[in-house]
Amino acid sequence: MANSNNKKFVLPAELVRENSQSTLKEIEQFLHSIDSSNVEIDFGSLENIDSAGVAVIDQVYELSEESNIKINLINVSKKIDISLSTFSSRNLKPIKEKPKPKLFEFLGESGFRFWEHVKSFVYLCADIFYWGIGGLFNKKGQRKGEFTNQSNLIGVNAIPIIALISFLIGFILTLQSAQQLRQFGADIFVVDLIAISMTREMAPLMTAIILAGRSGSSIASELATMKISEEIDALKTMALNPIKYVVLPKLYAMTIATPLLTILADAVGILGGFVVGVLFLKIGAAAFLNRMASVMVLKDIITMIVKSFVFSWIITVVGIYFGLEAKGGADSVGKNTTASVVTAIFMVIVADSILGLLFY
Amino acid sequence: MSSIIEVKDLITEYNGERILDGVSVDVKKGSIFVILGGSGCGKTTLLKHIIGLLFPVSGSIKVFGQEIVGMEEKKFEEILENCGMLFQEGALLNSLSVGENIAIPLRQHTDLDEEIIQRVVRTKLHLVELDYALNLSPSELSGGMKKRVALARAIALDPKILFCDEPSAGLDPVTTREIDKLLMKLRDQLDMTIIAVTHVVDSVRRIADEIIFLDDGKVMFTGSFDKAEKSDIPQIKKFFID
Repeated sequence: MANSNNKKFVLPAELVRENSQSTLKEIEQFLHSIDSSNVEIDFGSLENIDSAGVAVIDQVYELSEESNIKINLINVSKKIDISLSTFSSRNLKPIKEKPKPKLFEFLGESGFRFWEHVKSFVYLCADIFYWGIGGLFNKKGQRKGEFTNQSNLIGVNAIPIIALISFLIGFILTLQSAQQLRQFGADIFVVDLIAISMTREMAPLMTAIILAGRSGSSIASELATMKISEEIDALKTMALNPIKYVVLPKLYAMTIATPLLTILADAVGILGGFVVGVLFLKIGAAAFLNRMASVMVLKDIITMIVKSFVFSWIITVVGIYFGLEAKGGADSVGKNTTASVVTAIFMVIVADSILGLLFY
Repeated sequence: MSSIIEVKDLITEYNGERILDGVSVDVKKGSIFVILGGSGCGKTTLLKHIIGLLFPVSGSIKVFGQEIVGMEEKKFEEILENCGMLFQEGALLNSLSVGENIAIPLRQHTDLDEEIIQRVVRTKLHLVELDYALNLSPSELSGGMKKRVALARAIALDPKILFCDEPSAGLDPVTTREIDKLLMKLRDQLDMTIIAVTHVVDSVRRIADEIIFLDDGKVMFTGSFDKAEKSDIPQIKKFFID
């Protein structure tokens, strides 16, 4: 019941999402401007209220409680009352937020998670190794025709981009080196530089980096999508080993395609150097080829082939690992694909450094 | 009751095949309108045309009395702000929490403060009885729970029209009844118009004010559930017997 120091706020005809925020501000100003402990909110003119409007009324209640002001709702129609009871958040239990971990908890959890990743990676490598060797002799449980399909996707389809990039790398490398060597009258040594650097380093490394971005990401995203859409589980329930059915064709295709692509990259890269040497540096074609034949040794070729095998396994295993680690939804596919490419390139460079030392 | 959606002679094709063939629909304001029919008869296609996700070959679609076929995108967005859509699989964004999913339309289409938005989010979650799921990720929810969260998101802005593609598919009978009750509550208390595509006959019996039966892209029947059950049209008889 209203007393002598009662104050009244009359709500507009509509209290909906378009005017809820401005009405709340008006009510707040009204509450601050009065010195009464009793306030009436008049719903007499109100014809329409939505959930945002009800949230405003709830907010007003909370503000008034903080200021020790008693709120009375007056002239509430039946229709509005139904909306108030349907959308009110006043009687909802507060949700407990998960406490943030403290520093040592965070470090411990991160360390534990890292160890779990290492363990699953090692288990996966063991699985792939076991089934990869076994799969050569027993084709049961493998998808027919998939090796050819993957070889096309990973190998044949990558030929244009790998050839183009390798040619340009050979071209640029020769051009930049020649400028320095020319100062000492040592133009011909550009052949040594391009032949050895392309064969031992650039061809396997560039091929691996392109394949990590192209095929590694494709492997990771395909497996991640299969994982989150329960296709991997479906294979398991059909008594099919996902490693044999999905992973082995990709592994075999990468193992075959990477060295071949690396040889192609090497040849085309040297061709890029040859073009610069013959056309710009005026080294004769025969001189270029003779010099190349005299400086290159079998060890260079072996280094290139060994590196390409190692890189192919790194890219495949990393792609498979991050693909199978996906959890949740579409965001996980994106995150794991990115992580697979970054990790694969990092591991390829680390492996390249180690192999570089071994074959020095 | 006045019409809120009017579809006239809608024809749509996909790869040269006719999916909807001269469909006409009249949805009354504040009613629950159910689209029935066998798999592949064009139910979801019709729904997607009304909400502007697909475009017809010919025909007219009026929503809130405005022709939406060929409408300017910005103008159509204003219409969409008054519509909510519950997708068959929920279509929640996995990178966001449940609460953030429901808050998307509130943050994008209103100038409400975060405190008010959080109140509305919690109210909507309470309506679908998933109060505790506020901070969970969609990937931590079951299929039925995802659908309920998607419903909470669809009604976040208190739309005047709610479109539901299979609201009961994959849900247990108890949850189905709860969803049905909520849909009826939204119709009765908030005068919301609901257009649902569903196969669950019990659910249709409970909620439908009017049904339309599609077969091979054509309207076979329009009317109440009782009339449909007594219909002599073979396709409809088969549907209810099965």
